[in-house]
Amino acid sequence: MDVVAFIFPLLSLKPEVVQFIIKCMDEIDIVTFSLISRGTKNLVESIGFTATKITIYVQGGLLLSLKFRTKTIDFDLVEWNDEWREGIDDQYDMTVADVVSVEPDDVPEMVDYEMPNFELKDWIGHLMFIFHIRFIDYFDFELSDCRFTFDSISREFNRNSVKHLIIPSTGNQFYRQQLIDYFQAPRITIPSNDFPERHLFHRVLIQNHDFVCIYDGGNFTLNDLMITNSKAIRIYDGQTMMKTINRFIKLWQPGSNLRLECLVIYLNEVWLPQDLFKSITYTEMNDEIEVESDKREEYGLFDSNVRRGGYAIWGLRGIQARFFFHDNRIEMFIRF
Amino acid sequence: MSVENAPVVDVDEAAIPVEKKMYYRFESNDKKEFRVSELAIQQSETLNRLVEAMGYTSEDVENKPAIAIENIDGKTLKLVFQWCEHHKGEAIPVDDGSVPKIVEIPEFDAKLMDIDNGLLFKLIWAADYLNIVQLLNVSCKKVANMAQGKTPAQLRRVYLLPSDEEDEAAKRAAQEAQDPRAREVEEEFEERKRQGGNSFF
Repeated sequence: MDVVAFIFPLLSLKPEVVQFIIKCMDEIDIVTFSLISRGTKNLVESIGFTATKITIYVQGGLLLSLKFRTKTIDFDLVEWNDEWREGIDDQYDMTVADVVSVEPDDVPEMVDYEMPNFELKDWIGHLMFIFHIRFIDYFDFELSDCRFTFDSISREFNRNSVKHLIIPSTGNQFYRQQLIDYFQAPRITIPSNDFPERHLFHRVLIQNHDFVCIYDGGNFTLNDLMITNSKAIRIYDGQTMMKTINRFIKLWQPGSNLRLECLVIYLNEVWLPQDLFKSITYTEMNDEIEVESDKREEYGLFDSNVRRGGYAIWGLRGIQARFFFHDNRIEMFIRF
Repeated sequence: MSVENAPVVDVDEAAIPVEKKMYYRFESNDKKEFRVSELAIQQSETLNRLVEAMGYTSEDVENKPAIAIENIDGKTLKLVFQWCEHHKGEAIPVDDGSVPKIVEIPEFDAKLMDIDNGLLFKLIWAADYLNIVQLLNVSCKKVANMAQGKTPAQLRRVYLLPSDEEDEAAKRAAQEAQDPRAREVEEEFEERKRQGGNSFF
């Protein structure tokens, strides 16, 4: 067939038809199309296609994961430096890969992009623009593995661009503190046991994050809980906390932690209501409450948003707190 | 072309109900005439409304001139009506707003669209003009599939897309063409500035 026969004059069609053709493309082809020029980038943006979640994993390299309704596409934006693998500890500036490899989860082959004029910031900005993303949903650090200089991270990422910062339990304390101080994320996941200097841990808790997720929460104290001025708190591995929570409820009733809407604790043992509510008046309920869908993610709830029954206690000005017990998990929802 | 010689497009007699069928006659811009069943016409919202508004009887269809479709040539219209006859009676899909669109291309449609890109372009144009939703869906999907496995540079060539520089040059040219006097004034202003004049007027 003649070479000309392979050419299709796309822009000679009506704009609505062009938009429809783009909508018919696979996600990865939409990305490719958007990289052709500023015009195609704006065209893709105009179709209103949105990604459901964007996560950045910082390990030896930097992986940007875009989640769509039915598939996920991973972008290897920063090359893995061979010297890292050889155990050299020096930190490196984060620089964009010459060839960005992309791995859609439904296609066996990788797709490679060579965009010589694109910096890391340009890649992230481009993807966020075309898929209508305002914030990076999760910024997940593997600190023990992360070799990027803090300066290069702060250069490439806006401090207000991250919604949920995830800090793991191992790694350089100073570096970790730099990251926590830099990113103004409304949600944060941090380890409790890994803060030898308790005042640094408290400095994080009092930041009025909307959501604080604590793991390794075995040594999480009543004091820690009282100063966590967040809407939602989630604690994993809360080993010796029953007495703590009982005392917390007694303090919540007259008016502490006024911002709190949801507290979820994962335990290593099964608790009974009569133990938890020792010296507290409570009522067993039989109705159904529904957690608003927009709150589910904020509260870190992964299962159904409908809760049935539970136990009610009352706090300041008649505000009700409802407790639900599921195997090793206790949930406290405060109904306004 | 006379009424007797007009081609009848792929009519499956067995699938047609016992009641008397009505065939409308259409004429392309290169004077080719087609006879298309009433049921097939329902796939096209534009034509369906047109024939409803005309209120033709069977006699009118035979005696009055064929309905002219002036924007579409015979080759394209033949494909359009073949498609409509094959898919007659099928439900017209409703856009659910999802992206990316999940569109399957049936075997018949794939064979029908095994054509060069020039004709495919005309087919899409015709499907859009005649508002044949499912034909537009499958033909657009075929064009969308051309992007598979291509790099941005390859895709730019396939879809004949301008680069940023070409875009800007075209924009400048369009501006100049729209208002040549503005360009002259600008040049005059630049010239005066070079000569050291403070005031333009």
